[in-house]
Amino acid sequence: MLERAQFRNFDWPLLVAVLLLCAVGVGMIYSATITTIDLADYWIRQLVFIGLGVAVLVIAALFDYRQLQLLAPPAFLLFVGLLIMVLLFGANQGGSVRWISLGGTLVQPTEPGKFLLIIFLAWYLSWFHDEMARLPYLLGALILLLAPLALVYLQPDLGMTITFAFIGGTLILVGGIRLWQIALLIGGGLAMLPFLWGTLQGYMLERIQVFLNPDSNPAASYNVDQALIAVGSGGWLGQGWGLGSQNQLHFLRVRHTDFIFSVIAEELGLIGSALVLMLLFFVIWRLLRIADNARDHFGRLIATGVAALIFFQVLVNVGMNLSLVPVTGLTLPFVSYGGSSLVSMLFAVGLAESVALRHRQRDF
Amino acid sequence: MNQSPVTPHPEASPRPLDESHPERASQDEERTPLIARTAGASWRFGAIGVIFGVATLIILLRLLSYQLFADQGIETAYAAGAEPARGAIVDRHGNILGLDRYYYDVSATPNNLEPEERIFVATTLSEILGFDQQPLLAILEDAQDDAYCILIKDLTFEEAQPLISYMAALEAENNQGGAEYSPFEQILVSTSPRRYYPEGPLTAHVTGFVGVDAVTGAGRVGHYGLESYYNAFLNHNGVGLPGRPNGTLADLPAATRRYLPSAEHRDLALTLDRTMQWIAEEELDYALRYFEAQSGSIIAMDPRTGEILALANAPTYDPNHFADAETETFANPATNLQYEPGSIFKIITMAAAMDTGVITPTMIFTDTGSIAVGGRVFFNSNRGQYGRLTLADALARSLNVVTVQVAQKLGTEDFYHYVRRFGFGQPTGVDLAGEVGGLIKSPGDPNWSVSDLAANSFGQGLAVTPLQMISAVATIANQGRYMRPYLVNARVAGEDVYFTQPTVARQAVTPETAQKMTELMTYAVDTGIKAARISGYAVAGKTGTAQIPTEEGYTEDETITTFVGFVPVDDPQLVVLVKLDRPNPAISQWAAYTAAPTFARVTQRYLNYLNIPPDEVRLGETAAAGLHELHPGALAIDTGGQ
Repeated sequence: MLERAQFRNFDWPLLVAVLLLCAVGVGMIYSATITTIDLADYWIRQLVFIGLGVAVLVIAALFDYRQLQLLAPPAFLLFVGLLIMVLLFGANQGGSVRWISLGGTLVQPTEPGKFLLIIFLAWYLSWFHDEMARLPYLLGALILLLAPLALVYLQPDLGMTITFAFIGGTLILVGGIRLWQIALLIGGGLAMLPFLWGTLQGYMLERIQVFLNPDSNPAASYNVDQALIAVGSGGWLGQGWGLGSQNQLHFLRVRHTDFIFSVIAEELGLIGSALVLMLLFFVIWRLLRIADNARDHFGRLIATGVAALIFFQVLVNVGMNLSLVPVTGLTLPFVSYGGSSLVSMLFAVGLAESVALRHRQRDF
Repeated sequence: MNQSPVTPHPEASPRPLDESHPERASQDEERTPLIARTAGASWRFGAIGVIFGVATLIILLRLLSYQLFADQGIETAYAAGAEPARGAIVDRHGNILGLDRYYYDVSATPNNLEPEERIFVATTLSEILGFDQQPLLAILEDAQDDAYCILIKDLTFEEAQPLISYMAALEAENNQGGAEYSPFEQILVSTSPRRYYPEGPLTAHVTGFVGVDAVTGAGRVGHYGLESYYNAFLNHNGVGLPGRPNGTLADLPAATRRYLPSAEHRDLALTLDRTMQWIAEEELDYALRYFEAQSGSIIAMDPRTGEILALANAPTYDPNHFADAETETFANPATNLQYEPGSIFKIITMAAAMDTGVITPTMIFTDTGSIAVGGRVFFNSNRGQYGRLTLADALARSLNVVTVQVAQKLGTEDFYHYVRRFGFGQPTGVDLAGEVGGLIKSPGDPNWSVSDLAANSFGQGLAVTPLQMISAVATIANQGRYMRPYLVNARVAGEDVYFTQPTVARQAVTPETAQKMTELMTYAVDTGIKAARISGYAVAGKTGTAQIPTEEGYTEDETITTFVGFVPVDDPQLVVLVKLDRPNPAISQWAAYTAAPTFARVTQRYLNYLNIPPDEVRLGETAAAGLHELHPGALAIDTGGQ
């Protein structure tokens, strides 16, 4: 346990920014759901999730992240094992197999998998930090990354595959890849591209197709069209909290989760949506700062992984609201409604805080 | 997995003992290398910053462009999503010929529905709307992870009414508070516009229809006819309107304004008369059955303005169900297809020769039964030989040989000059999509030869559209002034109205020539074309019976018969063209016995409908009788001819 004085190393601005985002989320969830009887208490539930999440955050921060190194290899094996089990015995839902039944409840291993991947890759890359200049060790990292990637790709779950790839890529970049290796990988990747295109599942192509040509599937592009209308009608200051017509008249679907950013843009305008984005990017900057100041490579990589995870979700979610990227189920961190996503996001921040608390002393 | 310890980090071995945090030095925790205290910000973080920064910038720019240019954002979003509504099309008396009607789609947010809620929704929907429950449930189950799915498409208002009422009742309960949650909160009834033509096939070739874009497969785009010609105007407010409005809504007759302006504020008020259109359609239908003809057209036009009053073709299609129709029926045979007109074209040859002064109506010609031009020999259609007779009689009997003589007198250059002045070989400029210009070979064209002049003079070896033909004859009815034909009287953009001004394209022949031609054509009906006569009215007209050119030459007894005429001859108000394709030769293959009587039936009804009194009522007995005589000054026999 840390002493009281050491909490001065705790990244308070990061926590304040995160809590502000959570507060904005509660306000917007209230606005998005209060007119729907069934969902009217969701903002209260979100408050409960925030309380729970903050507790998880504090516990994670107090826990010494370095202990996780012990857990990394077995956790990774468990993760890959679960993915294989999903492929072999998983429950088929809507054409893809993403869940397995454990003791009667369905579990989707890819959700905690994000953290397992961050911790494992952080462990591998820091453990072999000085060997990274040698190609076999880099290839080892890539193979260890590609194993879960391929298994998720086969489920098939394109969104999660890209998420894993982004996190893995960021960690390898920070973890010590050399420039010549990057060039080599880009070349190899380009050569693989035509082969990969052939294995893309029909639904993936369809989703990309819908994104490139929205009119080709009116059912699928409906949500994005409505989101764009909402964003477009926001203007400078928005239509006012609780007054957005796209939101209040229920043209926006899944407005309290996937499309909450559109609600913000419609009701709070450019000022509001830009402020929320700035808060999110402030959080990511603080996380990268923690990484830069980390005491060891393991801590640095964990903080980087958390930053990459949050950044990628922001990028994909906001990009989806603005029709920049295809629609996936990724939520807006800290803001979207949802217990598991909120608690896991706050847990991620807690991990980073744990690194911050044990930062290294700098000589200037 | 490699569990053996690796070479320690060089900077790790001298442990940076942190006095204040002794617990950090514990052997167990320092498994991975530490980072030097002196380490500066790595280039790797710079790279991450650049990647994150660029992505952030793209998002911010996108946000900026959508939010600050909000109108544009909404516009584009609407253009991509909601289908734009189109304005209405009404006839000259305000009867609706085409408008958008709303259809209802039922969609759901299936991922918000629990399994038992799915069953409830499917059961209730099937009870309310009378659909099968099983397919609805299947859709909901297939889409259970999705945020959107369409359950039912294209309900009419009547069909959707019970569901709308049901959901309104739920909403009302909700508003009073205390209502139970209903899974129907996950159900949405939305409307989308669909084109509806209340008259069905009646005006199909005039209006065209609305379908998806042929290339992109998206949106609602006009195809054929007015829907295509005025697509931009009907789709987007104000687009495609040249200049400034030249009138207001109040300038339109009250009847025309009945349904205008529509909510879309972009409507077309036509010159077409629904009743006249219906008469044309009915008589055409009757003629096709009676003469067992394959197809046909009837056009009615006001020669004084160029307004098209009726334009009917058969066979036609129902634009409400164009998807089920034969695509060959989509083209408008009156403007999009051309044919060889035959003897009717003699009017043009005669008018041209009269206008240049080389002939007069009473000039004597000698019909030798055949004439050789450029190595080809031309005969009269019945192979007869009529000897000496006046030009008026030659036209009344439709003699090819005399017409060739007239063309020779006229000369090649003047003949083709007048053919162009009468609007042949070029589109009339009517406001219908896909109009063709016809085919006129003239000297200088590679395949033209001297014999073509002879063939052309009586309507062979060239191709015209029925609309070109009636416009040329309307020119004679309108004192030699060629009026551009048109169908849209006014484009109504809310309060602003853009009236189409009747346009004189050119003075094709002098009023005197037109007057003489009117007399000749009246004489032709009076002496030759019994079936075209209308009791109480003098009629000016001309038949044309054209054999159908095929690759093997002209067919033996298949013909296209045309009659075009106008009334009243002293003050022409109505030109009517009747064209019947391939009437059964066992009944008659001649225009005088097929197209001409059809013309008389149609025109008789039009005269009644338009309240045009008989000649004697209007002019008195003497003047009315005078309409049937050739001009007194021309009665002296002119011996200048052969």
